[in-house]
Amino acid sequence: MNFKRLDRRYLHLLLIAVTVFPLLKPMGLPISIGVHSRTLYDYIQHLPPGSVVLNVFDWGPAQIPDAGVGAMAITQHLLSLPVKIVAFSQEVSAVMMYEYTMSRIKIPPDKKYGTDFVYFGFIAGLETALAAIAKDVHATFVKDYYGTPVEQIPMMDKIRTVKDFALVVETTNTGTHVDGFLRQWKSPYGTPIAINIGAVMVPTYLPYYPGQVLAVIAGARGGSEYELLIKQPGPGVASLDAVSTSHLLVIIFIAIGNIQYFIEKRKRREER
Amino acid sequence: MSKVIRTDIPLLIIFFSGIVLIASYFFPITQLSLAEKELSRWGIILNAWAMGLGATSLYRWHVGEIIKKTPGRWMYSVWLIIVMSVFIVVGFVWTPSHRVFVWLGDAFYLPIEAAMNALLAFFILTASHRALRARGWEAAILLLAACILTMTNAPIGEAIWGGIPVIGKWILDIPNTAASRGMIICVAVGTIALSIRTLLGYERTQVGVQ
Amino acid sequence: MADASLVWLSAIFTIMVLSFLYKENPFYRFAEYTVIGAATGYWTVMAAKNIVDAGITPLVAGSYVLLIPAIFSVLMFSRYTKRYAWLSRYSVALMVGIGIGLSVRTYIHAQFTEQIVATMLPVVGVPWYTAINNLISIIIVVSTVLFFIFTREPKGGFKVITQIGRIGMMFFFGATFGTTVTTRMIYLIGRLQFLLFEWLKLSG
Repeated sequence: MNFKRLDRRYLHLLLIAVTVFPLLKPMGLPISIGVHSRTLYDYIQHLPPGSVVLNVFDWGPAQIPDAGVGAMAITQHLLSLPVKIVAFSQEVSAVMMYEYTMSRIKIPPDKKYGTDFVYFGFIAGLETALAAIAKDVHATFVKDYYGTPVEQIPMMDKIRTVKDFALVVETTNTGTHVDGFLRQWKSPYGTPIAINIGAVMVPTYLPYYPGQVLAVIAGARGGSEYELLIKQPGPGVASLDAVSTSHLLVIIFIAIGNIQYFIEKRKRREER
Repeated sequence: MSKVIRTDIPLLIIFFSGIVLIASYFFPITQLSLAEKELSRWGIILNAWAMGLGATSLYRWHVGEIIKKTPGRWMYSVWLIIVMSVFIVVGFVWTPSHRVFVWLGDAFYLPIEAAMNALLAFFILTASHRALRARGWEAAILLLAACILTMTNAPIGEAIWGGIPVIGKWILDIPNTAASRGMIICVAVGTIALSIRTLLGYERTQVGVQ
Repeated sequence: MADASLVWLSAIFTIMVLSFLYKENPFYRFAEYTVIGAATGYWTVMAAKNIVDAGITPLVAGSYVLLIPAIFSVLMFSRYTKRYAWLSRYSVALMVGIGIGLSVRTYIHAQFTEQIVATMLPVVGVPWYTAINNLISIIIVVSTVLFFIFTREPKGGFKVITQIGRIGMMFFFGATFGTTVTTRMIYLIGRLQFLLFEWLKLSG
């Protein structure tokens, strides 16, 4: 069968079939926990009570099944602990992701908006904004996402500069955001930074581990491991069987392509 | 005089704003620190305005398409203007956190953006089949690393053979990290050189000066 | 959880976009223009909120120094006129100056010296497999940096070193491709999860 002449649309149907089947009939392949997920989980679990964590939503709708899985699991974990969460976004579309996350995770009844967690919406400026927040939180986070002035938010009273944050968790699919935190928060002030990034960025950002970042949570795989660590398997874990079958299909196609290539190469050599 | 106003003053703005910010980092002087805080605030405002430029440009382009009645496209431009205007009106009349605005985003922005990215899966399947060939030994290394990492990210890799995630982790932690680190260092040298050249006025393309 | 109208609209738009796989069609085009309009409108509203919160509110409260960025911001729109387009250079210059000033001062530390420090790995006093791995890392980092020196022709021993850098980069590009496959596939899986479990309400 000559795959070159095969209509591409049959390949598309095949991909949909191998992805849908394990979603409807999960295989339950075991998922081992990696060192990065374990490191971040342990670090968050041992944060002193009252610590302030900056949870940055910088992922968009496309990343819901990718870095979004980890973001939801980490946010759920943070809400289960006696820590304060300050959240904001440097990406416009990430504002929707805050709403998406908060509508899908379980907020413990003893956690109140304004006292235990707060969201400041989208702040323009990227690295400029990070430098401004580091110097003066109240001057940059003027009003929260709902329009409440920062002075009227109870938990923000003692949060004034970068030194008041115990940890930054940056969830993103764009390298610019990670670079910004490394340059404006880590290098000058030494703030611990953990990054939860799309799988595609992992090879590029691993060099920063462990010297500059605490952990590199890798997309759906890392997020699923975090879901297992907090003992709340969710969409991440549910997606990994489909990841397995689709990846196997890609490998099969790479193998077929290479076999065809070598057969043709040998034929051309023999014809000469 | 024209050259001073059109070229030299913008270059001086770049120089002085950059130097103040660099100096404030290395010299703990109160006035420099205040200047840094103020300039950072200005940067946020300017960046926000620049985003508005995008909307203006898009409006101008699509209104032009509607006026010209570009065949096969102008009706879509009408719809685009309607959608954009509805978002802007709702967002300004109520607030971005109002449930109507949130609903609009969840209905018209979220699913389409997610689905557009989902299309990439199909293209990478056909790209893998057509492009990843072991044409030489370097390409073979690339191919091998790609296959091992593909299987490392999926639980099936570990199920087939426990050595796959071990080798995958080694590739990520050793040769990949080392090469990436080398590239980061090179990019850093280039970026620092370009930044200094821009501050000193040797690179002028950012301000539209040839 | 999303209401029924939202789920149905999301499903319809998702199917419109995926119909592109069959061939380009008016439904796909309609969805494409919808998202461009929605995204631009969304961005504009968020930008306006920032301008009001960070600029207009403190300006009205007495922080008159903010008139300066306000003037620079308005000058940005002069690019739409032929005669006064050069005025927008002032706004761009200020943005560029602030951006460079903030980034370059710590770039040297974060992405240069820290990376060099991270390359200084021990090759003695550690287990043999760690020593070998560390040695490989150091060699690849150095040879990758030397690969990008274009002022010297790669000949003889220098060429061998740059070849080692190329091998390292092949591992990097291969790893990036492998992880790109994961990312792209997971985007599709996410949409299929939505269609199967939230729209069709099937159980997995």
